[in-house]
Amino acid sequence: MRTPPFRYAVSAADLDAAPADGDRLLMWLARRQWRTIVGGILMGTPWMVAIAMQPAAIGKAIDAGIVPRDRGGLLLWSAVIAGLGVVIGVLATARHFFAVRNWLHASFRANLVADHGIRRAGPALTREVPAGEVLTSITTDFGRMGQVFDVSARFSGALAAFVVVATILLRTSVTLGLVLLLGGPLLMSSLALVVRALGRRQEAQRAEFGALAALGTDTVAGLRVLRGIGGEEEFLRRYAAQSARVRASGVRLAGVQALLEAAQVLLPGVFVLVVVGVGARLALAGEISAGQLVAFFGYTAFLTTPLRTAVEFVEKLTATRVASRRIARILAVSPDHPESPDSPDPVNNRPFGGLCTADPVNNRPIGGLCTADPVNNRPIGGLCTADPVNNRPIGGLCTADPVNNRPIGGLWTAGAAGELVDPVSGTRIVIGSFTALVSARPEDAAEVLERLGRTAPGRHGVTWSGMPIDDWPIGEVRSRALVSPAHPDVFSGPLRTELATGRPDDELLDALHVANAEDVLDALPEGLSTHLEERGRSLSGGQRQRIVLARALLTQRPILLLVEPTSAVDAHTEARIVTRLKEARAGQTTVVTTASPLVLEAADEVVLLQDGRATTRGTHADLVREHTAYREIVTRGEAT
Amino acid sequence: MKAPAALTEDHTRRQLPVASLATVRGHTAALIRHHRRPLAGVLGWHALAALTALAAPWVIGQLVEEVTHARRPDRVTHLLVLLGVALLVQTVLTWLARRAAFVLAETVFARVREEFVASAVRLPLSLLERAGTGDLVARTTGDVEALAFVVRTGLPQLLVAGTTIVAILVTALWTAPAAVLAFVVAPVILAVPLRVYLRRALPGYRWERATYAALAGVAAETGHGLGTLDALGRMPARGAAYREALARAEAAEHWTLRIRMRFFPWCDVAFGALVAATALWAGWLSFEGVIGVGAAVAVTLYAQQLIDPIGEVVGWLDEIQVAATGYARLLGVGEVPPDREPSGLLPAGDDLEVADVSYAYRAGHDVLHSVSLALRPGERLAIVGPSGAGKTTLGRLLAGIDAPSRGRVTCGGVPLVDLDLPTLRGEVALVTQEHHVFVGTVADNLRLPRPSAGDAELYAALSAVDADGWVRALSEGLATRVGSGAHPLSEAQAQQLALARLVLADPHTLVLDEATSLLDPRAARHLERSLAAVVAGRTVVAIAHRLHTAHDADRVCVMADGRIEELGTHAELIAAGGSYAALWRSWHGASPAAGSRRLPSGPRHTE
Repeated sequence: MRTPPFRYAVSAADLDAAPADGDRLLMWLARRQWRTIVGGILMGTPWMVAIAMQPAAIGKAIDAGIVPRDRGGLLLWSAVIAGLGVVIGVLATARHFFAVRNWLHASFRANLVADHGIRRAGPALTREVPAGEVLTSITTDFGRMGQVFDVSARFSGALAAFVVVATILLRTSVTLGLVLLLGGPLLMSSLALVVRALGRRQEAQRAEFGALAALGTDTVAGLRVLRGIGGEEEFLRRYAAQSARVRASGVRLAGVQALLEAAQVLLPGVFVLVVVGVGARLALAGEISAGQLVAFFGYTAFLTTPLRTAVEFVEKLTATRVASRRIARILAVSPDHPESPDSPDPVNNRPFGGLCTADPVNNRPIGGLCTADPVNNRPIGGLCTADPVNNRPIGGLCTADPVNNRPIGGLWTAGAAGELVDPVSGTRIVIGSFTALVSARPEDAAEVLERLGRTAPGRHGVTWSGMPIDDWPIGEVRSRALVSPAHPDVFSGPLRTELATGRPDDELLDALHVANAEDVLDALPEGLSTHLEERGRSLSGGQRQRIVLARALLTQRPILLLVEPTSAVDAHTEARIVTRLKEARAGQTTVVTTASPLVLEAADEVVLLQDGRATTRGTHADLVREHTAYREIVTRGEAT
Repeated sequence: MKAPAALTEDHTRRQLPVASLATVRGHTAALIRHHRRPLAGVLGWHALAALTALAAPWVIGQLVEEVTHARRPDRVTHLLVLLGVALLVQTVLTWLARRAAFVLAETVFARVREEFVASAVRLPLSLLERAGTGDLVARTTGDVEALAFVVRTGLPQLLVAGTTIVAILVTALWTAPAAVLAFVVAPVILAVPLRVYLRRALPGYRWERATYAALAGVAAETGHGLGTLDALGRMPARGAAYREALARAEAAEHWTLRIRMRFFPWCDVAFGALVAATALWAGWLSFEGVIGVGAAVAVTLYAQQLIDPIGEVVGWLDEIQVAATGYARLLGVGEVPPDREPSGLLPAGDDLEVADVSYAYRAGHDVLHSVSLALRPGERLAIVGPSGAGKTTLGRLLAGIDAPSRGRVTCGGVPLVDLDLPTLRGEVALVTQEHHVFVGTVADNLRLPRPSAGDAELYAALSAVDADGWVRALSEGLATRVGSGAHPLSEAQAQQLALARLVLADPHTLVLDEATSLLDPRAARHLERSLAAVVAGRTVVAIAHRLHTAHDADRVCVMADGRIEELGTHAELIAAGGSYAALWRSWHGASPAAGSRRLPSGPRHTE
C-alpha cells in the first residue's frame, strides 16, 4: 500500500524540544498551528453571527411582509432568509474544514510527541508509568488532545454572536435585552450544574458496563479453553447476571438522565416564558413590534447555542489538559541508559572511546572488538588498536591483541582481555566462542545476559575485553551486542522488514535457513512479503521463535546473547538449528542460555550457574561426567 | 470525486461470516416485535411531549394577532398562563418519555449483547482451534461498541426527533394545511446530496476506523515491545512506522472530510429554503385570506422548529449504517453452522483408533496421508518428528476437534466427531499451553467443566496437582478473584489451575501438545508432579518436543511428511537404527550418567 503524504510532520529536533509540562505542551502545539486556528476563527465568527441573524430576518418577514400584507417586503425578507441559509451553509463548511484540520493538527502532533517520548523512554517507561495509562495516552487521549482546538472556532463565533445579539437586543429594548443577557448565562450555568451531578451518577454505570465488557472480551480470549473443557452454560449464566446488573443500573440511571432532558425543556422554557411575557407587554404598549416579539422568541432559542458552546469549550479544555498532562508524564520519564553527554563525539563524528565493529583499514569486521577511529583512520583513546590482517599493533598505545585474545601492554588484568565479564555472577565469556549458560533457575542465566548486554537497568561493572561498558553511550553497546530475551516481541508488517531492512533477500533466506525457518516461509502465502499480524499472532510459538532467531542473526552484531533461543522447537529442529548457528557464527561471540543437551553438546564452553553465581565452566561432556548438579539439571527429564 | 484505492480494501481479516442485510432487517423487526409494548409506550409519551412543545409557536402566533389586531391584555395574560401550563406538562411528559426510552434502549441492548455472547460461546471447536479468536475479539469490542452507541444514545434521540417531526407536521397541518405544502422544499433539496453522502460515508468511515485501529495496534505493539525495540536498535524505524500509520489515518480523515464538505452546505441551504419558502407561501396565503396572520406566523415558526430534529435524524443516519454493519457482523457469528451432528451413539469402550486417515486444510494439499494408529488404553504414546510433519494435526484429530478428510477416528467404535461435546470432553481432552485464567474467582475457574462440584471436590482436584497449598494461602481461598485486573497468578499457577480443571473433567485420554506448551523439562518440578498426577491412569498421547518425553513413553511414533515413519518402543526404535535412533544418540550421546539407560556414543548427528 502506498503511503500517503503526511502533512502534520514534526522534525526530530522539534520533537525533542516538546515541553514535558501539560499546559506548556498545549501552547507548544497551538504555536505550531496558529494559522489554522486563525482561519477557523475567521470562518466561525461570521458563521454564528449569520445564524444569529436568522430570527431577525424571520421577524422582519413578519413585520415588513405578513402583517402589513406587503408582497414586496415578504419577497425581500424571504429571499434574505434563503440567502442566509446559503451563507450559513458555505461558512459552516469552511468552519468545519478548519475545525477538522485543527483537530488533526493537534491530535496528530500530540501523538507524534507521545510516540517519540515513549520510544525515548524505552523500557524504563513500563516501570515508571502504568501500562494502562500509556495505552490511554496513545488511544483515547489521541482524540482528546485535538478537542479544544476543534471547538476553538465555534467558541470564538459564540462569543461574537453573543455580542451581536446583545447589541441588537439592547438597541431594541433595554429591559428585554437585559433579561436575555443576564438570564442566558444564569440558565446555562444551572444546566451545567445538573449535567455535572448526572455525570457522577453515570460513572457508576460506566464501571458496571466496563466489567461486563471485560467479561465478554475475557471469554472470547479464553474461548478455546472454554470450548475445550466445557462450562459454556456456567459462563453464560455469569454473563447474563452481569448483563442484568448493567441493565438494572442503566434503568436506575434512566430516571436521572431523563431528569436532565426534562431540565433542558423546563429551564429554557421558563426563560422563553419570561421573555415572551415581558415582550408581549412591551408589544401591547407599542414599544416593540409584533415581528420584534417573534425575533425575541427566536433569540431565546438561539442564545442557548453559543452558551452551550461556551460550556463545551470549558469541558473540552479540561479534558485536553488532562490528556496533555498524561503525555507530559511520558515525556518526563528518563531512559535507563541515557546518552551520556560527554561520550559520543558529535563534533568529530567518530565513535566514542575506542570501540568499533569494523577494521577501518581493511574495511571489514574483526573478531567482535576493535578500536579505531574509522573517520580518521587512526587509533583513538589510547586503547587497543591491532591490525588484524597482519596481526600486529597499529600505533603505539595498543594494549591487547583481539585476534589472538591476549593482552599486549600491561594495562589490563590478565584474563580480562578477550572476555566478557559479569562481576555480579562471576561469569566470563570468551570472545569469539559459542558459549552456553546453564542454570537450575533459568531466570538467573537470563539476567547474566541482560547485564552483559546492558539491557538491565543500573550499573553492574560489566567489562568487555577489560573495558568497563557502564559509561559507554548506549548506542555503542547496542551496535555490538544484542540481547534477545526469553519472550521477544514480533511486530506487524512485511516479514522482510521485520527480519531486517535494506538487506538482499539472499541474506534473509540464509538467516532463515540457519534458524531452520524455511517451512515457516513456505507456509506464508506471500513469502517474505507476507504481512505479519499484530505481535506475530498468526505464528505459532515455535515459528515465532525461529523468526526471532533469524532476526537476531541478521543484526550481524559481534556479540549475540540469546535467552532460550530454541525452547519452543522440537528436538529435530533444535539439532539442525544448533549445527547451523554454530557454523554461521564461527569466530563471533554467541552466548545462549539453555538446558538442552543438543545445544550444550555443541557449545565450545558451558558455564554452570548455581544460585546466580558461575561456579563451573567446561565442556558438556566433561561436566556431565564430573558434575552431579549439572547432570541433574540437564538430564532432569529422565530422573522422573 | 474519485475514491482512494484503500477504500475498497477489506480492512479486517475475516474468518467468521457476516449476516446479510435481510437477516439484519429480520432481526431488527423481531426486536421491535418483541419490545412492541414498551416501544409503543415510548412513542406515545414522546408524541404527547412533542405536541405540548408546539404550544409555544401557537401562543406566539396568537400573541401576534393580539398585538396587531385585538389588543386584549386579559387574553394576553391567559395565553401566557397557558404557555406556562404547557411548559410544565411538557416537562413532565419529557421526563416520562425519555425515561421510558432509556429503559427500552438498555433492555434492547442487553438482549442483543446476550444473544451475541451466547452464539459466540457456541462457536464450533474446530473453527476456534484453526482460526483463532482475533476476528471474534474485534467484533466483541468494536462492533458491540458501535451498536451500543446507537442503541443507548441514538435510539432515544431518534425517537424524540422522529416524534417531534411528526408532531410538528400534524400540528402544522391542523393549523393551516395549505401552508404546509411549502415544507416539501427541504426533502426535495436534500434527497440527492443525502443519498450520495450516505453511499460514500459508510465505506469512508469504515476505512477511517480501520486506519485508527491499525494506528492503535502499532502504538500498542510499540508500548509492549519497548525492550525488544531498544535491543534491536529499531526505535527510529518504529517511529517511521508510526508516522506511516498516522499518515494513513490522515488520508482517511481527509477523505471523510471531503465527503462531509460536499454534503453539509446542502443541509443549511435546505433549512434556509424551508423557512423562506414557508414564510413566502404562508404570507401569500394570508394575503389571499386563505389563512389568518397568526396561522401564517405559527407555520413559519413550525418550519424553523423542524430544523433541529431533521438535523438530528440526518446526523444519525450514518451512525445507523455503521451500527447496522456492526450488527450484521454480530449476527454473522450465530450463522456459523455446528461442526458436528451427534449421532446419539455412545462409545462402547475407551479404545481410540485412527483408521486410514488423511487430512487437508486446503483441498488437494493433504498434510496427513493414510495414517493408521491404534491406542492401547492406559498407554503413553509420544509423537515426535520435525516441524510440519503433521504431529499437531494428528493430535487434533485424536482429540475429536476436527473430522478427518478421509478415514475414521473412533472411540469405542464411534467416530469422535459423532459425539456431542459433553460426551467428547469426558472421553478425550486436548491440552495446550493456552491456560487462560478467566475473570472471576478461583472456584469459577475450576468449576467450568463440572458446575456442580463442591469446594471439597475442588480442593481434591487442586491437591492432585499440588496446588491446594497456594490456593489455601490466598486471602479468600477459592473465593479469591483472579484473572485480568484481579489477583495475579504466575504462569505455573495458571497452568496448575488448567490441570486441576482437567482432573475435574476426567477424560480417559489426554492429548498433550508440547508444541505450544510450557510443559518442558525446565518447568518447575512441582508442575511436573502436577502433570504426572493428571496423566496417571489415563491414556496419554504426547506430541513431544523433548526427547525425554519420548524416552519415558511406552511407545514412540515418529512422523515425517504426514506419515508415520516409525512406531515402537524406545528400545525397538533404537535397535532399528532409524532417524529416531540417530537423534537420540545426538541428544544423549554425551550423557553417560544415565546409568542403565546409557547407550554407546554414536556419530554426531547432522541433518
